[in-house]
Amino acid sequence: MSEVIEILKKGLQTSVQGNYRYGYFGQGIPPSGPMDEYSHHIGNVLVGNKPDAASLEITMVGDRIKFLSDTVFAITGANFSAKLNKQPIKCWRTYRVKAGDILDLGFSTNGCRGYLSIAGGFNVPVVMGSTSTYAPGLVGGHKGRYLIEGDILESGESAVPLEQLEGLAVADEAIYKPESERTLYITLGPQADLYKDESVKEFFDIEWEVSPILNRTGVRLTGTQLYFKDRIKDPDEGKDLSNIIDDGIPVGGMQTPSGKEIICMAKDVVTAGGFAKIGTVVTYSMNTVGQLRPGDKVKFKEISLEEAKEKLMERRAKYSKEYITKYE
Amino acid sequence: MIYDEPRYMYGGDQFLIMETGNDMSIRQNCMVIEINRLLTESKIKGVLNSQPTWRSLLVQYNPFEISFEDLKKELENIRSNVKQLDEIPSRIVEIPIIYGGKWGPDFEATAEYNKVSVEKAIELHSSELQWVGLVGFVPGHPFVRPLRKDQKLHGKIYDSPRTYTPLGTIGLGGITTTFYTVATPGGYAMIGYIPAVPYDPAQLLPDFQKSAILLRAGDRIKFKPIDVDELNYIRQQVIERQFRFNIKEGIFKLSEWEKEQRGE
Repeated sequence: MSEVIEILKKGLQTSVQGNYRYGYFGQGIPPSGPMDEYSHHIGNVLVGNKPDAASLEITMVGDRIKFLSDTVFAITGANFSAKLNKQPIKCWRTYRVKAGDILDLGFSTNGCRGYLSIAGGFNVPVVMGSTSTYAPGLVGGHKGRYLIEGDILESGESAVPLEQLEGLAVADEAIYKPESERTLYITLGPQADLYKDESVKEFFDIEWEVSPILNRTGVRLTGTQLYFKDRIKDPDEGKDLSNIIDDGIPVGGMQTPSGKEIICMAKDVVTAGGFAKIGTVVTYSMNTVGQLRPGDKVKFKEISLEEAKEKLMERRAKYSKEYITKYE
Repeated sequence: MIYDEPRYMYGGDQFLIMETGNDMSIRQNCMVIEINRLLTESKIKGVLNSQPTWRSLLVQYNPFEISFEDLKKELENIRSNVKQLDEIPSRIVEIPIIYGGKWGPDFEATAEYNKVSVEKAIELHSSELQWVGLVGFVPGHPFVRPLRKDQKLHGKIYDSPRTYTPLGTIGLGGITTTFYTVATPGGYAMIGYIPAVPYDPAQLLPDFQKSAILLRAGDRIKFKPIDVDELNYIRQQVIERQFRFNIKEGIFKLSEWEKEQRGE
Protein backbone atom coordinates (compact mmCIF):
# COMPACT_ATOMS: atom_id res chain seq x y z
CA MET A 1 0.00 0.00 0.00
CA SER A 2 1.47 3.32 -1.02
CA GLU A 3 0.31 6.81 -1.84
CA VAL A 4 -0.29 6.74 -5.56
CA ILE A 5 -2.02 9.92 -6.70
CA GLU A 6 -2.69 13.48 -5.62
CA ILE A 7 -5.49 15.56 -7.08
CA LEU A 8 -3.91 18.81 -8.30
CA LYS A 9 -7.08 20.19 -9.86
CA LYS A 10 -10.47 18.65 -9.38
CA GLY A 11 -12.73 17.59 -12.22
CA LEU A 12 -16.48 18.12 -12.48
CA GLN A 13 -17.44 15.14 -10.32
CA THR A 14 -14.92 12.43 -9.58
CA SER A 15 -15.48 9.62 -7.11
CA VAL A 16 -14.09 6.25 -6.13
CA GLN A 17 -16.36 3.45 -7.38
CA GLY A 18 -15.84 -0.27 -6.88
CA ASN A 19 -18.20 -3.09 -5.95
CA TYR A 20 -21.92 -2.68 -5.30
CA ARG A 21 -23.21 -2.15 -1.77
CA TYR A 22 -25.82 -4.77 -1.01
CA GLY A 23 -27.95 -5.38 2.07
CA TYR A 24 -28.82 -1.83 3.16
CA PHE A 25 -31.36 -0.80 0.53
CA GLY A 26 -34.21 -1.22 3.02
CA GLN A 27 -32.64 1.45 5.20
CA GLY A 28 -32.18 3.94 2.39
CA ILE A 29 -28.72 2.99 1.10
CA PRO A 30 -28.51 2.39 -2.68
CA PRO A 31 -26.04 -0.02 -4.35
CA SER A 32 -23.91 2.83 -5.85
CA GLY A 33 -20.95 1.53 -7.91
CA PRO A 34 -20.00 2.51 -11.46
CA MET A 35 -22.61 4.19 -13.66
CA ASP A 36 -21.09 2.36 -16.65
CA GLU A 37 -20.30 -1.04 -15.19
CA TYR A 38 -18.86 -2.42 -18.41
CA SER A 39 -16.18 0.25 -18.89
CA HIS A 40 -15.33 0.22 -15.19
CA HIS A 41 -14.93 -3.54 -15.01
CA ILE A 42 -12.94 -4.00 -18.21
CA GLY A 43 -10.65 -1.15 -17.15
CA ASN A 44 -9.81 -3.08 -14.02
CA VAL A 45 -9.20 -6.29 -15.95
CA LEU A 46 -6.86 -4.33 -18.24
CA VAL A 47 -4.61 -3.34 -15.31
CA GLY A 48 -4.67 -6.81 -13.74
CA ASN A 49 -7.34 -6.24 -11.07
CA LYS A 50 -10.55 -8.08 -10.34
CA PRO A 51 -13.39 -6.45 -12.30
CA ASP A 52 -15.04 -4.65 -9.37
CA ALA A 53 -11.86 -3.24 -7.83
CA ALA A 54 -11.97 0.46 -6.87
CA SER A 55 -11.19 2.94 -9.62
CA LEU A 56 -12.04 6.60 -10.25
CA GLU A 57 -15.23 7.55 -12.05
CA ILE A 58 -14.74 10.88 -13.83
CA THR A 59 -17.58 12.93 -15.27
CA MET A 60 -17.41 15.09 -18.43
CA VAL A 61 -14.41 17.09 -17.22
CA GLY A 62 -11.54 15.19 -15.65
CA ASP A 63 -9.04 16.04 -12.94
CA ARG A 64 -5.37 16.92 -13.13
CA ILE A 65 -3.47 14.26 -11.24
CA LYS A 66 0.09 13.85 -10.00
CA PHE A 67 1.42 10.32 -9.55
CA LEU A 68 3.20 9.81 -6.25
CA SER A 69 4.61 6.36 -6.95
CA ASP A 70 5.22 3.98 -9.85
CA THR A 71 2.14 2.34 -11.27
CA VAL A 72 0.27 1.35 -14.44
CA PHE A 73 -2.99 3.06 -15.34
CA ALA A 74 -5.67 2.95 -18.03
CA ILE A 75 -8.62 5.15 -18.95
CA THR A 76 -11.80 3.44 -20.22
CA GLY A 77 -15.40 4.48 -20.83
CA ALA A 78 -16.08 7.75 -22.60
CA ASN A 79 -13.25 9.00 -24.77
CA PHE A 80 -11.28 11.55 -22.70
CA SER A 81 -8.80 13.93 -24.32
CA ALA A 82 -6.14 12.97 -21.78
CA LYS A 83 -2.50 14.04 -21.70
CA LEU A 84 0.37 12.43 -19.85
CA ASN A 85 3.17 14.93 -19.18
CA LYS A 86 1.53 17.14 -21.83
CA GLN A 87 1.64 14.40 -24.53
CA PRO A 88 -1.76 13.18 -25.82
CA ILE A 89 -2.51 9.58 -24.88
CA LYS A 90 -5.18 7.06 -25.86
CA CYS A 91 -7.97 5.53 -23.83
CA TRP A 92 -8.43 1.75 -23.49
CA ARG A 93 -4.65 1.25 -23.15
CA THR A 94 -2.21 0.85 -20.28
CA TYR A 95 0.53 3.35 -19.49
CA ARG A 96 3.37 2.90 -17.03
CA VAL A 97 4.18 5.97 -14.95
CA LYS A 98 6.60 6.96 -12.22
CA ALA A 99 6.40 9.32 -9.28
CA GLY A 100 6.14 12.95 -10.44
CA ASP A 101 4.35 12.23 -13.74
CA ILE A 102 1.35 14.47 -14.39
CA LEU A 103 -1.91 13.21 -15.95
CA ASP A 104 -4.43 15.68 -17.31
CA LEU A 105 -7.65 13.77 -17.87
CA GLY A 106 -9.06 16.44 -20.15
CA PHE A 107 -12.71 16.20 -21.14
CA SER A 108 -14.95 13.59 -22.70
CA THR A 109 -15.62 13.83 -26.40
CA ASN A 110 -18.43 11.28 -26.69
CA GLY A 111 -20.07 9.81 -23.55
CA CYS A 112 -20.35 11.21 -20.03
CA ARG A 113 -18.12 9.12 -17.78
CA GLY A 114 -14.64 7.64 -17.86
CA TYR A 115 -12.79 5.36 -15.49
CA LEU A 116 -9.21 5.69 -14.30
CA SER A 117 -8.01 2.26 -13.17
CA ILE A 118 -4.62 1.62 -11.62
CA ALA A 119 -2.71 -1.59 -10.95
CA GLY A 120 -3.83 -2.92 -7.56
CA GLY A 121 -6.89 -0.65 -7.48
CA PHE A 122 -7.38 2.27 -5.10
CA ASN A 123 -7.18 1.32 -1.47
CA VAL A 124 -10.11 2.85 0.40
CA PRO A 125 -11.95 1.55 3.48
CA VAL A 126 -14.73 -0.96 2.89
CA VAL A 127 -17.90 0.65 4.26
CA MET A 128 -21.01 -1.53 4.56
CA GLY A 129 -19.35 -4.11 2.38
CA SER A 130 -18.34 -1.77 -0.45
CA THR A 131 -15.61 0.60 -1.59
CA SER A 132 -18.03 2.69 -3.68
CA THR A 133 -18.81 6.31 -2.90
CA TYR A 134 -22.39 7.29 -2.08
CA ALA A 135 -21.82 11.02 -1.68
CA PRO A 136 -25.39 12.11 -0.77
CA GLY A 137 -25.22 9.77 2.27
CA LEU A 138 -21.57 10.57 3.05
CA VAL A 139 -20.75 6.88 2.65
CA GLY A 140 -17.75 4.98 1.26
CA GLY A 141 -15.02 5.81 -1.24
CA HIS A 142 -12.63 8.56 -0.19
CA LYS A 143 -14.14 10.23 2.92
CA GLY A 144 -17.67 9.64 1.62
CA ARG A 145 -17.42 12.41 -0.98
CA TYR A 146 -16.32 13.51 -4.44
CA LEU A 147 -12.62 14.23 -4.77
CA ILE A 148 -11.16 17.71 -4.30
CA GLU A 149 -7.78 19.39 -4.70
CA GLY A 150 -5.16 18.00 -2.35
CA ASP A 151 -6.76 14.59 -1.89
CA ILE A 152 -4.18 11.81 -1.78
CA LEU A 153 -5.21 8.24 -2.55
CA GLU A 154 -3.39 4.99 -1.90
CA SER A 155 -3.15 2.01 -4.20
CA GLY A 156 -3.59 -1.61 -3.26
CA GLU A 157 -1.04 -4.32 -3.97
CA SER A 158 -0.88 -5.21 -7.68
CA ALA A 159 -1.46 -8.93 -8.28
CA VAL A 160 0.65 -8.72 -11.45
CA PRO A 161 4.20 -7.30 -11.80
CA LEU A 162 3.96 -3.85 -13.42
CA GLU A 163 6.20 -4.85 -16.37
CA GLN A 164 3.63 -7.41 -17.46
CA LEU A 165 0.92 -4.76 -17.59
CA GLU A 166 2.84 -2.45 -19.94
CA GLY A 167 1.67 -2.00 -23.51
CA LEU A 168 -1.74 -3.66 -23.12
CA ALA A 169 -4.98 -2.60 -24.82
CA VAL A 170 -8.59 -3.67 -24.95
CA ALA A 171 -9.32 -5.44 -28.25
CA ASP A 172 -11.29 -3.31 -30.71
CA GLU A 173 -14.40 -5.51 -30.53
CA ALA A 174 -14.57 -5.05 -26.77
CA ILE A 175 -14.27 -1.25 -26.78
CA TYR A 176 -17.54 0.28 -25.70
CA LYS A 177 -18.75 3.14 -27.88
CA PRO A 178 -21.43 4.93 -25.89
CA GLU A 179 -22.68 6.91 -28.90
CA SER A 180 -23.48 3.68 -30.75
CA GLU A 181 -26.28 2.74 -28.36
CA ARG A 182 -29.37 4.89 -28.52
CA THR A 183 -31.98 2.28 -27.58
CA LEU A 184 -32.67 1.69 -23.91
CA TYR A 185 -34.14 -1.74 -23.17
CA ILE A 186 -36.79 -1.77 -20.48
CA THR A 187 -39.47 -3.82 -18.78
CA LEU A 188 -42.83 -2.12 -18.38
CA GLY A 189 -43.93 -1.25 -14.87
CA PRO A 190 -44.14 -1.57 -11.93
CA GLN A 191 -46.94 1.01 -12.48
CA ALA A 192 -47.37 1.08 -16.29
CA ASP A 193 -51.07 0.18 -15.84
CA LEU A 194 -51.75 3.61 -14.33
CA TYR A 195 -50.96 5.39 -17.63
CA LYS A 196 -53.37 5.84 -20.51
CA ASP A 197 -52.76 3.30 -23.28
CA GLU A 198 -52.01 6.00 -25.84
CA SER A 199 -49.36 7.46 -23.51
CA VAL A 200 -47.66 4.07 -23.15
CA LYS A 201 -47.67 3.78 -26.95
CA GLU A 202 -46.24 7.28 -27.36
CA PHE A 203 -43.61 6.53 -24.74
CA PHE A 204 -42.23 3.84 -27.07
CA ASP A 205 -42.81 5.74 -30.32
CA ILE A 206 -41.00 9.01 -29.70
CA GLU A 207 -37.40 10.03 -29.12
CA TRP A 208 -36.61 11.33 -25.64
CA GLU A 209 -34.01 14.02 -25.05
CA VAL A 210 -31.62 14.02 -22.10
CA SER A 211 -32.01 17.20 -20.07
CA PRO A 212 -29.04 19.00 -18.47
CA ILE A 213 -30.10 17.81 -15.02
CA LEU A 214 -28.28 14.54 -14.57
CA ASN A 215 -26.23 12.96 -11.81
CA ARG A 216 -25.60 9.61 -10.19
CA THR A 217 -29.07 9.60 -8.62
CA GLY A 218 -31.03 10.10 -11.82
CA VAL A 219 -31.10 11.24 -15.42
CA ARG A 220 -33.98 13.40 -16.66
CA LEU A 221 -35.49 12.96 -20.11
CA THR A 222 -38.04 15.15 -21.83
CA GLY A 223 -40.27 14.24 -24.75
CA THR A 224 -43.99 14.37 -24.32
CA GLN A 225 -46.68 14.80 -21.69
CA LEU A 226 -47.74 11.40 -20.35
CA TYR A 227 -51.35 11.04 -19.20
CA PHE A 228 -52.79 8.91 -16.43
CA LYS A 229 -56.08 7.04 -16.31
CA ASP A 230 -58.57 8.41 -13.83
CA ARG A 231 -58.71 6.43 -10.63
CA ILE A 232 -59.97 6.71 -7.10
CA LYS A 233 -57.10 8.13 -5.10
CA ASP A 234 -56.12 6.82 -1.70
CA PRO A 235 -56.35 9.74 0.77
CA ASP A 236 -52.78 8.99 1.85
CA GLU A 237 -51.31 9.44 -1.64
CA GLY A 238 -50.29 12.80 -3.01
CA LYS A 239 -52.95 14.71 -4.95
CA ASP A 240 -51.55 14.34 -8.46
CA LEU A 241 -52.42 11.28 -10.56
CA SER A 242 -48.69 10.61 -10.88
CA ASN A 243 -48.46 10.19 -7.09
CA ILE A 244 -48.75 6.75 -5.55
CA ILE A 245 -48.32 5.50 -1.99
CA ASP A 246 -44.57 5.59 -1.29
CA ASP A 247 -43.08 2.57 -2.97
CA GLY A 248 -39.63 1.02 -3.50
CA ILE A 249 -37.67 2.33 -6.49
CA PRO A 250 -35.48 -0.04 -8.52
CA VAL A 251 -32.22 1.04 -10.15
CA GLY A 252 -33.39 2.02 -13.66
CA GLY A 253 -36.91 2.83 -12.45
CA MET A 254 -38.46 5.66 -14.48
CA GLN A 255 -40.51 8.07 -12.39
CA THR A 256 -42.73 10.57 -14.19
CA PRO A 257 -43.72 13.44 -11.87
CA SER A 258 -47.00 14.90 -13.20
CA GLY A 259 -46.26 13.02 -16.44
CA LYS A 260 -44.10 15.97 -17.54
CA GLU A 261 -40.74 14.23 -17.73
CA ILE A 262 -39.00 10.94 -17.02
CA ILE A 263 -36.47 10.63 -14.23
CA CYS A 264 -34.52 7.45 -14.83
CA MET A 265 -33.07 6.51 -11.46
CA ALA A 266 -29.43 5.41 -11.51
CA LYS A 267 -26.89 3.80 -9.17
CA ASP A 268 -27.36 6.28 -6.29
CA VAL A 269 -31.16 5.75 -6.50
CA VAL A 270 -33.35 7.09 -3.69
CA THR A 271 -34.75 3.81 -2.43
CA ALA A 272 -38.39 4.82 -2.01
CA GLY A 273 -40.71 7.52 -3.26
CA GLY A 274 -44.23 8.39 -4.24
CA PHE A 275 -44.21 8.66 -8.05
CA ALA A 276 -45.52 6.13 -10.57
CA LYS A 277 -42.89 4.40 -12.67
CA ILE A 278 -43.80 3.65 -16.27
CA GLY A 279 -40.91 1.25 -16.84
CA THR A 280 -37.52 0.10 -15.61
CA VAL A 281 -34.30 0.12 -17.65
CA VAL A 282 -32.60 -3.29 -17.56
CA THR A 283 -29.04 -3.80 -16.32
CA TYR A 284 -27.62 -4.12 -19.85
CA SER A 285 -28.81 -0.63 -20.80
CA MET A 286 -27.78 0.99 -17.52
CA ASN A 287 -24.28 1.31 -19.06
CA THR A 288 -25.84 3.53 -21.71
CA VAL A 289 -27.74 5.55 -19.08
CA GLY A 290 -24.41 6.14 -17.33
CA GLN A 291 -22.97 7.58 -20.55
CA LEU A 292 -25.86 9.88 -21.57
CA ARG A 293 -25.04 13.54 -22.07
CA PRO A 294 -27.42 16.50 -22.13
CA GLY A 295 -29.02 16.71 -25.58
CA ASP A 296 -28.59 13.01 -26.43
CA LYS A 297 -31.70 11.36 -27.87
CA VAL A 298 -32.86 7.86 -26.96
CA LYS A 299 -35.75 5.50 -27.65
CA PHE A 300 -37.20 2.82 -25.41
CA LYS A 301 -37.79 -0.79 -26.37
CA GLU A 302 -39.44 -3.51 -24.32
CA ILE A 303 -37.43 -6.66 -23.70
CA SER A 304 -38.16 -9.99 -21.99
CA LEU A 305 -36.26 -11.06 -18.88
CA GLU A 306 -34.66 -13.89 -20.88
CA GLU A 307 -33.39 -11.53 -23.60
CA ALA A 308 -32.15 -9.06 -20.98
CA LYS A 309 -30.20 -11.83 -19.29
CA GLU A 310 -28.70 -13.04 -22.57
CA LYS A 311 -27.55 -9.56 -23.57
CA LEU A 312 -26.03 -9.00 -20.16
CA MET A 313 -24.27 -12.37 -20.20
CA GLU A 314 -22.80 -11.63 -23.62
CA ARG A 315 -21.47 -8.30 -22.45
CA ARG A 316 -20.13 -9.58 -19.15
CA ALA A 317 -18.24 -12.36 -20.96
CA LYS A 318 -16.01 -9.57 -22.28
CA TYR A 319 -14.54 -8.71 -18.89
CA SER A 320 -11.94 -11.28 -19.63
CA LYS A 321 -8.26 -11.53 -20.48
CA GLU A 322 -9.24 -12.91 -23.89
CA TYR A 323 -10.09 -9.37 -24.95
CA ILE A 324 -6.81 -7.88 -23.77
CA THR A 325 -4.16 -7.57 -26.46
CA LYS A 326 -0.70 -6.08 -26.89
CA TYR A 327 -0.28 -2.85 -28.79
CA GLU A 328 2.73 -1.53 -30.66
CA MET B 1 -57.20 -3.41 1.43
CA ILE B 2 -54.92 -6.43 1.39
CA TYR B 3 -55.24 -8.32 -1.91
CA ASP B 4 -56.17 -12.01 -1.76
CA GLU B 5 -53.23 -12.67 -4.04
CA PRO B 6 -50.32 -10.23 -4.18
CA ARG B 7 -49.29 -8.69 -7.50
CA TYR B 8 -45.78 -9.51 -8.68
CA MET B 9 -44.21 -6.99 -11.01
CA TYR B 10 -40.94 -6.56 -12.91
CA GLY B 11 -38.52 -3.79 -12.09
CA GLY B 12 -36.09 -4.47 -14.92
CA ASP B 13 -34.13 -7.74 -14.84
CA GLN B 14 -32.82 -7.38 -11.28
CA PHE B 15 -35.82 -6.27 -9.23
CA LEU B 16 -39.09 -7.91 -8.24
CA ILE B 17 -41.93 -5.94 -6.70
CA MET B 18 -44.44 -7.78 -4.55
CA GLU B 19 -47.47 -5.57 -3.96
CA THR B 20 -49.63 -6.92 -1.13
CA GLY B 21 -52.40 -4.34 -1.28
CA ASN B 22 -53.37 -0.75 -1.97
CA ASP B 23 -53.54 1.09 1.35
CA MET B 24 -51.29 2.20 4.19
CA SER B 25 -52.96 0.25 6.99
CA ILE B 26 -50.78 -0.90 9.85
CA ARG B 27 -51.73 -4.56 9.21
CA GLN B 28 -50.71 -4.29 5.58
CA ASN B 29 -47.42 -2.69 6.63
CA CYS B 30 -46.77 -5.31 9.36
CA MET B 31 -47.29 -8.08 6.81
CA VAL B 32 -44.72 -6.58 4.45
CA ILE B 33 -42.25 -5.99 7.29
CA GLU B 34 -42.67 -9.57 8.50
CA ILE B 35 -42.26 -11.02 4.98
CA ASN B 36 -39.11 -8.93 4.62
CA ARG B 37 -37.77 -10.13 7.97
CA LEU B 38 -38.34 -13.78 7.05
CA LEU B 39 -36.88 -13.24 3.56
CA THR B 40 -33.75 -11.67 5.06
CA GLU B 41 -33.42 -14.48 7.62
CA SER B 42 -33.81 -17.20 5.00
CA LYS B 43 -30.65 -15.99 3.19
CA ILE B 44 -31.88 -17.20 -0.19
CA LYS B 45 -29.03 -17.42 -2.70
CA GLY B 46 -29.15 -14.56 -5.17
CA VAL B 47 -31.21 -12.16 -3.04
CA LEU B 48 -29.16 -8.95 -2.80
CA ASN B 49 -31.36 -6.24 -1.31
CA SER B 50 -34.89 -5.60 -0.18
CA GLN B 51 -36.96 -2.51 0.57
CA PRO B 52 -40.17 -3.01 2.55
CA THR B 53 -42.71 -0.19 2.13
CA TRP B 54 -46.29 0.42 3.33
CA ARG B 55 -47.82 -2.11 0.97
CA SER B 56 -45.07 -3.60 -1.15
CA LEU B 57 -41.71 -5.27 -1.02
CA LEU B 58 -38.99 -4.46 -3.55
CA VAL B 59 -36.39 -7.22 -3.88
CA GLN B 60 -33.14 -6.96 -5.82
CA TYR B 61 -31.82 -10.31 -7.06
CA ASN B 62 -29.01 -11.64 -9.18
CA PRO B 63 -30.73 -13.14 -12.25
CA PHE B 64 -27.78 -15.51 -12.75
CA GLU B 65 -28.43 -17.05 -9.32
CA ILE B 66 -32.22 -17.01 -8.99
CA SER B 67 -34.99 -16.43 -11.53
CA PHE B 68 -37.95 -14.10 -11.12
CA GLU B 69 -40.28 -17.13 -11.01
CA ASP B 70 -38.26 -18.97 -8.35
CA LEU B 71 -37.99 -15.86 -6.22
CA LYS B 72 -41.75 -15.42 -6.54
CA LYS B 73 -42.24 -19.01 -5.30
CA GLU B 74 -40.00 -18.35 -2.29
CA LEU B 75 -41.99 -15.22 -1.44
CA GLU B 76 -45.28 -17.13 -1.79
CA ASN B 77 -43.98 -19.70 0.71
CA ILE B 78 -43.03 -16.99 3.14
CA ARG B 79 -46.35 -15.21 2.68
CA SER B 80 -48.34 -18.36 3.45
CA ASN B 81 -46.80 -18.24 6.95
CA VAL B 82 -47.80 -14.67 7.72
CA LYS B 83 -51.46 -14.63 6.60
CA GLN B 84 -52.69 -14.79 10.20
CA LEU B 85 -50.45 -12.20 11.76
CA ASP B 86 -51.05 -11.36 15.43
CA GLU B 87 -47.84 -9.65 16.41
CA ILE B 88 -44.41 -8.69 15.12
CA PRO B 89 -41.10 -7.82 16.84
CA SER B 90 -41.00 -4.05 17.39
CA ARG B 91 -38.53 -1.97 19.37
CA ILE B 92 -39.41 1.24 21.15
CA VAL B 93 -36.86 3.97 20.44
CA GLU B 94 -36.90 7.24 22.40
CA ILE B 95 -36.02 10.30 20.33
CA PRO B 96 -35.23 13.52 22.24
CA ILE B 97 -36.74 16.48 20.34
CA ILE B 98 -36.95 20.21 20.85
CA TYR B 99 -40.12 21.71 19.37
CA GLY B 100 -40.67 25.15 17.88
CA GLY B 101 -38.73 28.42 17.98
CA LYS B 102 -35.65 28.53 15.79
CA TRP B 103 -35.45 24.73 16.13
CA GLY B 104 -38.76 24.19 14.40
CA PRO B 105 -39.67 27.43 12.62
CA ASP B 106 -43.02 26.08 11.35
CA PHE B 107 -44.21 24.68 14.67
CA GLU B 108 -46.20 27.67 15.92
CA ALA B 109 -47.94 27.93 12.54
CA THR B 110 -48.62 24.18 12.66
CA ALA B 111 -50.29 24.53 16.07
CA GLU B 112 -52.39 27.38 14.69
CA TYR B 113 -53.27 25.34 11.58
CA ASN B 114 -54.53 22.56 13.90
CA LYS B 115 -56.36 25.17 16.06
CA VAL B 116 -54.56 24.09 19.24
CA SER B 117 -52.11 25.75 21.64
CA VAL B 118 -48.37 25.11 21.27
CA GLU B 119 -48.47 23.04 24.48
CA LYS B 120 -51.31 20.93 23.12
CA ALA B 121 -49.49 20.48 19.80
CA ILE B 122 -46.45 19.13 21.67
CA GLU B 123 -48.72 16.76 23.57
CA LEU B 124 -50.42 15.61 20.36
CA HIS B 125 -47.11 14.82 18.75
CA SER B 126 -45.22 13.34 21.69
CA SER B 127 -47.57 11.71 24.20
CA GLU B 128 -48.18 8.44 22.34
CA LEU B 129 -46.01 6.00 20.45
CA GLN B 130 -45.68 6.51 16.71
CA TRP B 131 -45.11 3.85 14.05
CA VAL B 132 -42.10 3.61 11.72
CA GLY B 133 -43.70 2.22 8.55
CA LEU B 134 -40.87 2.76 6.10
CA VAL B 135 -37.18 3.62 6.28
CA GLY B 136 -35.87 4.74 2.93
CA PHE B 137 -35.54 7.48 0.33
CA VAL B 138 -32.15 8.48 1.75
CA PRO B 139 -30.19 6.70 4.51
CA GLY B 140 -32.04 6.13 7.75
CA HIS B 141 -34.87 8.43 6.68
CA PRO B 142 -38.04 7.18 8.42
CA PHE B 143 -41.71 7.73 7.59
CA VAL B 144 -43.48 7.82 10.96
CA ARG B 145 -47.25 7.83 11.60
CA PRO B 146 -49.33 8.01 14.77
CA LEU B 147 -50.82 4.81 16.14
CA ARG B 148 -53.88 6.54 17.62
CA LYS B 149 -56.62 8.22 15.68
CA ASP B 150 -57.09 11.03 18.22
CA GLN B 151 -53.39 11.86 18.34
CA LYS B 152 -53.03 13.31 14.90
CA LEU B 153 -51.27 16.61 14.39
CA HIS B 154 -51.34 17.75 10.77
CA GLY B 155 -48.41 19.48 9.10
CA LYS B 156 -48.89 21.66 6.06
CA ILE B 157 -46.73 20.64 3.10
CA TYR B 158 -44.94 23.54 1.36
CA ASP B 159 -46.36 24.40 -2.06
CA SER B 160 -42.85 24.73 -3.41
CA PRO B 161 -40.21 22.57 -1.69
CA ARG B 162 -37.26 24.10 0.16
CA THR B 163 -33.93 23.56 -1.57
CA TYR B 164 -32.27 22.81 1.78
CA THR B 165 -33.32 21.39 5.13
CA PRO B 166 -30.75 21.31 7.96
CA LEU B 167 -29.61 17.91 9.23
CA GLY B 168 -31.58 16.88 12.34
CA THR B 169 -34.74 18.75 11.36
CA ILE B 170 -38.04 17.01 12.12
CA GLY B 171 -40.62 17.47 9.40
CA LEU B 172 -44.37 16.94 9.51
CA GLY B 173 -46.37 16.52 6.29
CA GLY B 174 -50.00 15.54 6.79
CA ILE B 175 -49.80 13.11 9.71
CA THR B 176 -46.42 11.73 8.61
CA THR B 177 -43.33 12.73 10.56
CA THR B 178 -39.87 12.40 9.08
CA PHE B 179 -36.30 13.05 10.16
CA TYR B 180 -33.87 14.79 7.86
CA THR B 181 -30.98 12.37 8.42
CA VAL B 182 -28.96 14.08 5.69
CA ALA B 183 -29.41 17.67 4.52
CA THR B 184 -31.78 17.46 1.53
CA PRO B 185 -34.50 19.50 -0.14
CA GLY B 186 -37.84 19.05 1.58
CA GLY B 187 -41.44 20.12 1.73
CA TYR B 188 -42.65 19.03 5.17
CA ALA B 189 -43.32 21.65 7.86
CA MET B 190 -40.25 22.02 10.09
CA ILE B 191 -41.58 21.41 13.61
CA GLY B 192 -38.49 20.59 15.64
CA TYR B 193 -34.93 19.43 15.87
CA ILE B 194 -33.18 16.34 17.23
CA PRO B 195 -29.66 16.76 18.63
CA ALA B 196 -28.97 13.01 18.20
CA VAL B 197 -29.71 11.82 14.66
CA PRO B 198 -30.36 8.09 14.20
CA TYR B 199 -27.97 7.97 11.23
CA ASP B 200 -24.24 8.07 11.91
CA PRO B 201 -22.26 7.38 8.70
CA ALA B 202 -18.94 7.67 10.53
CA GLN B 203 -20.22 5.21 13.17
CA LEU B 204 -18.79 7.25 16.05
CA LEU B 205 -21.54 6.71 18.64
CA PRO B 206 -21.82 3.44 20.60
CA ASP B 207 -25.28 2.57 19.19
CA PHE B 208 -23.85 2.63 15.66
CA GLN B 209 -20.93 0.23 16.04
CA LYS B 210 -22.75 -2.48 14.09
CA SER B 211 -24.77 -0.35 11.70
CA ALA B 212 -24.74 3.29 10.66
CA ILE B 213 -28.53 3.27 10.64
CA LEU B 214 -30.51 2.87 13.84
CA LEU B 215 -34.16 2.76 12.79
CA ARG B 216 -35.93 -0.08 11.04
CA ALA B 217 -39.42 -0.40 9.64
CA GLY B 218 -41.59 -1.79 12.44
CA ASP B 219 -39.94 0.23 15.22
CA ARG B 220 -42.06 2.47 17.39
CA ILE B 221 -40.90 5.94 18.37
CA LYS B 222 -41.48 7.85 21.56
CA PHE B 223 -40.73 11.52 21.04
CA LYS B 224 -39.34 13.01 24.26
CA PRO B 225 -39.73 16.81 24.42
CA ILE B 226 -36.59 18.53 25.72
CA ASP B 227 -35.61 22.11 26.57
CA VAL B 228 -32.50 24.05 25.53
CA ASP B 229 -30.43 22.89 28.54
CA GLU B 230 -31.18 19.26 27.76
CA LEU B 231 -30.48 19.93 24.08
CA ASN B 232 -27.04 21.33 24.92
CA TYR B 233 -26.32 18.44 27.26
CA ILE B 234 -27.18 15.85 24.57
CA ARG B 235 -25.16 17.75 21.95
CA GLN B 236 -22.14 17.64 24.26
CA GLN B 237 -22.67 13.92 24.79
CA VAL B 238 -22.84 13.40 21.02
CA ILE B 239 -19.60 15.36 20.53
CA GLU B 240 -17.92 13.25 23.25
CA ARG B 241 -19.30 10.09 21.60
CA GLN B 242 -21.07 9.16 24.84
CA PHE B 243 -24.70 9.52 23.80
CA ARG B 244 -26.85 6.41 23.80
CA PHE B 245 -30.41 6.11 22.56
CA ASN B 246 -32.95 4.62 24.92
CA ILE B 247 -34.06 1.48 23.04
CA LYS B 248 -36.37 -1.23 24.37
CA GLU B 249 -36.85 -4.54 22.61
CA GLY B 250 -40.52 -5.41 22.35
CA ILE B 251 -43.46 -6.89 20.50
CA PHE B 252 -46.19 -4.97 18.67
CA LYS B 253 -49.46 -6.76 19.32
CA LEU B 254 -51.20 -6.03 16.06
CA SER B 255 -54.47 -7.90 16.68
CA GLU B 256 -54.91 -6.32 20.11
CA TRP B 257 -54.14 -2.90 18.67
CA GLU B 258 -56.79 -3.40 15.97
CA LYS B 259 -59.37 -4.33 18.63
CA GLU B 260 -58.52 -1.14 20.53
CA GLN B 261 -58.97 0.88 17.35
CA ARG B 262 -62.41 -0.60 16.82
CA GLY B 263 -63.22 0.28 20.44
CA GLU B 264 -63.61 -3.35 21.54
